[in-house]
Amino acid sequence: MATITFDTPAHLRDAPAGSPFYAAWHREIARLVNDRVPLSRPGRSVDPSVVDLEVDEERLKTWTGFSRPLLMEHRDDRPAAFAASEDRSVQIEYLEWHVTRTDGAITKITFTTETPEYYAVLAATEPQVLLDLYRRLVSPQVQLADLVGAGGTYKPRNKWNTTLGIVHYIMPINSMKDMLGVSEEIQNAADARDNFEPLPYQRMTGADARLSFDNWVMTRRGLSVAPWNPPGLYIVDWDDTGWTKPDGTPVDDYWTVARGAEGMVLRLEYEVPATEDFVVGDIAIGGRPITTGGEVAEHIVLSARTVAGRESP
Amino acid sequence: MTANPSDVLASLTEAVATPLANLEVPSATTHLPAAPVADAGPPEGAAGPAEPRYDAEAAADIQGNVVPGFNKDHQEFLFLRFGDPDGVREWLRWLHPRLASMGEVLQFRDEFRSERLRQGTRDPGMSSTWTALALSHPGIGALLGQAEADAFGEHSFRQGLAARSTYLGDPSDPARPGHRDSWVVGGPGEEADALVIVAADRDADLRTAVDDTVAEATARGLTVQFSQRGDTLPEPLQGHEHFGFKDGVSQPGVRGALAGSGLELTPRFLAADDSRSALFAKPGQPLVWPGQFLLGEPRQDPQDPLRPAAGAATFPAWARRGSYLVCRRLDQDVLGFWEFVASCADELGTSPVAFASMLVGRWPTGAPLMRSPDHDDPTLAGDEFANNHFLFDDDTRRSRLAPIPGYGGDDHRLAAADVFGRLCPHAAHIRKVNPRDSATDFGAPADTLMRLMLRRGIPYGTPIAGVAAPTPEQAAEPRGLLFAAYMSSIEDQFEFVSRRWANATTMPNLGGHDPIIGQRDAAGDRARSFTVPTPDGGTVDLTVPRDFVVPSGGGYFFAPPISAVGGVLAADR
Repeated sequence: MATITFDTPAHLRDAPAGSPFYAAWHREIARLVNDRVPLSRPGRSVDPSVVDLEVDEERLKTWTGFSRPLLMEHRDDRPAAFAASEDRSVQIEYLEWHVTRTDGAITKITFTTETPEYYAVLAATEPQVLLDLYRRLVSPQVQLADLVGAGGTYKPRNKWNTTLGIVHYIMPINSMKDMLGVSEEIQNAADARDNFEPLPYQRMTGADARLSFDNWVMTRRGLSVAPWNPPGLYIVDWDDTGWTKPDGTPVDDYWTVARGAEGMVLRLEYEVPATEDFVVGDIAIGGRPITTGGEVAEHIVLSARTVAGRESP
Repeated sequence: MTANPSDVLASLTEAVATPLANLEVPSATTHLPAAPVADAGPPEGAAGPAEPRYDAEAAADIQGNVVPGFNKDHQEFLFLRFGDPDGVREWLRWLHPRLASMGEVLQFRDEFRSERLRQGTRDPGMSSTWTALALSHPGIGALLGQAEADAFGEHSFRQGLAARSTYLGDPSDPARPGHRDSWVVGGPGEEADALVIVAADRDADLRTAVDDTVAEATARGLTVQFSQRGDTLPEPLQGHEHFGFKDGVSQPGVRGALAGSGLELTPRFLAADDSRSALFAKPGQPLVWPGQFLLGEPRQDPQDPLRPAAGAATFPAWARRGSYLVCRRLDQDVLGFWEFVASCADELGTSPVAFASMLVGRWPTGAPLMRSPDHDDPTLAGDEFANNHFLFDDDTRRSRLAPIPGYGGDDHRLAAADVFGRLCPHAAHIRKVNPRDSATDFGAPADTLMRLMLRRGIPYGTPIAGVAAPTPEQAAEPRGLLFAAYMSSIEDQFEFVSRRWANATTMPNLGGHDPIIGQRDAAGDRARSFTVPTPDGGTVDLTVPRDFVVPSGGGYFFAPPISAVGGVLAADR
C-alpha cells in the first residue's frame, strides 16, 4: 500500500483526460485534510495522501437527508419543520434541493450533494467545462459571466444555483471542507471510553454526530482513520415504500440518477414521467400529500465513507 | 445435510430448560431484586435536574399498563366498536373505577418483589387482575366530536394504523397475506373504537373479568369486534416468543418517583459512585424521561440525556399523562423461520440455533451474543444485572452496584467492542431496533433514547416450539405476538424504528434488513437481505425470501388518563 491521490467525487470525469483539473482537485482535498490529528485515544485521523495506511476496514456512515435540527425545533409540528426546510440556508444535512412547481403543485425535486469546492476548482482550471456542465444541469441560457466574476473567481451563489436552479451546496456549512473538518473533530471525546461519555454533543445535525462518533469508536480501537477515496458526500439509498399514486396504488420508480453512480449518487431527481396524468405533488407518502421537498428528503439516505487501519512504519 | 426444522424446534425447550429452572429459587446467578428503599427516590440535583415526583392524584391518573406495565401471564385484548354514544359513556362510567392505575400497579410490584425475596420463591402466591383502556381517533371523535379528536397533534394517530400500513412496509398487494384488507381487526373501515386489555395472573380470574367487561359493554350497545387471548408460553418457554427466543429482556427505565413514598417508577441498582448511575437504572437499562411515554411530562433533551426537555404540547388538556398505544397482531410462521434458518446454517457450516441467534442478537435463553459469542449461557441469561449489560461499539466496563441481598455480582465475560458487527451483526434484531451506544442516522446515542418504547406485548396461540413432529394442523394454527407498545409519539418512536431502522438496509448502520421483523415492499418484491459474519472470519450476504412475521390486525390508540375516562369522556353531552 502506498499513499493515495485523491480522486474526484464518484470518479467524475467532467474534464478531459490529462486536464490540470485533476491534480488541482487532489491539491484542494489535501489542503483540507490534516496530516495527523489525534481523535479519541489512542488512534488518530490521517491524510492518506501523506500517511501510508494499511486499510483493514471500510465504514459507511449514513444519515437522513432532512434536517434533524428542524425536526427538534418543531418537535410537535412536523409540517412547520417541512415548511421551514424549503429555504436552502437550513438544509444542513449535506443534502440540498430545488423544488420546481407548476401552478403551485410540485412537478420535480432535484437533490444535490455536490460541493462548492469542486466547482471552484473547475472554474479555475476548466471554465468551459464548468459552463457546459451548468448548461446541461440547469439551463442552456447560462453564460460564463453568470458563473465567474472579475479575475476568474467562481461565484457559488450565482442565480443558476439559487433562484433558478441547483448545482451544488450553498448552505454555509455544507461543503467538503466542513465534512472533512468535522471528521477530524474531537469534541469531548479525547479520553472517552464509550459513546455516552462525550454527551452532551453540541452539534445538532445527524450528519455531524455520525461523522464524529463513528470515527471515535474506531480510533479508540487503536485504528487510524482516513477519508475513503474518492472523498465525497453521497446519496446511498432512498425509500419510496408506502408512497402512493392518486388512485392509491404504489408509485413506480420515478427516481433518476443525474450525476454519480450507484452508492455514490451526487444528483438525484424525482419527477413523474409526462406519460402519467399526475405530478409529484399528487403523490402521498404514508397517506400524506407531498407539499414540500423536505417530505421527500426525509426518505433519502446520505453517506460518507471512512477507511480504518494501521499506519505503515 | 440440512437440519430438520422440527428437530431444531423440539430441541429448543431442552436448550432453554436449564435457565428457566434456575429461576425457581434465588441464587447468586438468578437474582430477585430487593424492594427499593422506601424514602430514597431519585437524586435531586446531584447528577442533574430533579426527576418528576408524582403525587397521589397523578399516580391514580396514569394507567398502570403504561407505567410500570402489567406484565401478567394471561391477557385478553378486546377490540370494541361503539354503538349509541350515551351507552358508551355509561359503560365508561362503569369501567372507570376498574382501570388499574400506576400507583396501584407500582405498589403491587413492590410488595410482590418483597414477598419473592422474603419467601425465596418465584411465585409468592400474590395475584391481581387489572384492566387498561385505549381509544382510537374515531372512538374519541364519536364521544367528543371530530374537532376534539383532531386536537391530537400526532398525525399518525389521526390517520390510524391501516392508513399507515404500507408505509410500515406491510404488503401493498391485496392478494398477499398481511395486507390490511385481510386483517382480523383494524383494516380499512374496520378500525376498533376502543381496545380494552384485561390482565391477570390466573386464568379463571381473567375469564371472569373479561366476561364482566364484555357483558357490561354489550348491554350498553358496544360490540366486540374481535377478541384475542394472549398467554405467556408454558414452561420451559415462559417469557419467550414463538420462535423460541426470550423476549422483552430490554426495556427503558422511566425516570421519576412517587411523591410520598419515594418509590421509583424504575428501581435503581447502580451505586451512586458509578459514573453511569445518572444514566442507567441497572446495567444496560437506560433511564428515559417520562414524557417519552406520557403526554405533557418532561421529555428527552435531543442532545443531553441528563436534562429534561419540555413535554409534548399538542393534545387536548384532558389527555395529559395519557399515552399512545400501538397494537399489532403479528402472525409468526415458526416452521418457515426454522426452515430458513436450518438451510442457511447448513450452508454456512454452523448450527441452526447459532445462526438464528445471530439474527436475533441473543441466544434462545436470552443470553446476549455480545457477552457469549460462541454458545448459549443459561446462567448469564438468568442474571438480570448481566443479561442486558453490553455496548456494541466499545468494550463494556463492569458497573458498581448498590448492595443487593443475595446477589454475588456479575462475573460473566464482558462484552468486547464490535464496531464492525463481527460478533453481533448490524442486522441482528436487537441491534437494529436499539443500537444502544452506536451512532445512528440521527446522530449521537442521546437521540436513540428518544426512540425507545414501553413494550407490553404477549404471545398468542399454541406454541409449536418443543413439538418434535408437528402435524400440518398444528403448524397451521394461528400463533404470534400481540405487539403492544406505549409512547408519546407514534411517528418518532414506533414508526421511526420500524421504517427507518428495521426496514432499512443502511440505517441505523449498514448491514441489511432486520431479518426478524423488518419488512420490504419494493414494487411487490418482499425479499430482504442482510449480512452476517461467517465462521472463517469473513461475511456473507443472505436473502430472506419471504416474511416470517406477518401483520394480521391492530390499531393506533390513545390510553387516556383515568380521570378523563370517568370525566370528560363519560360526561353527558
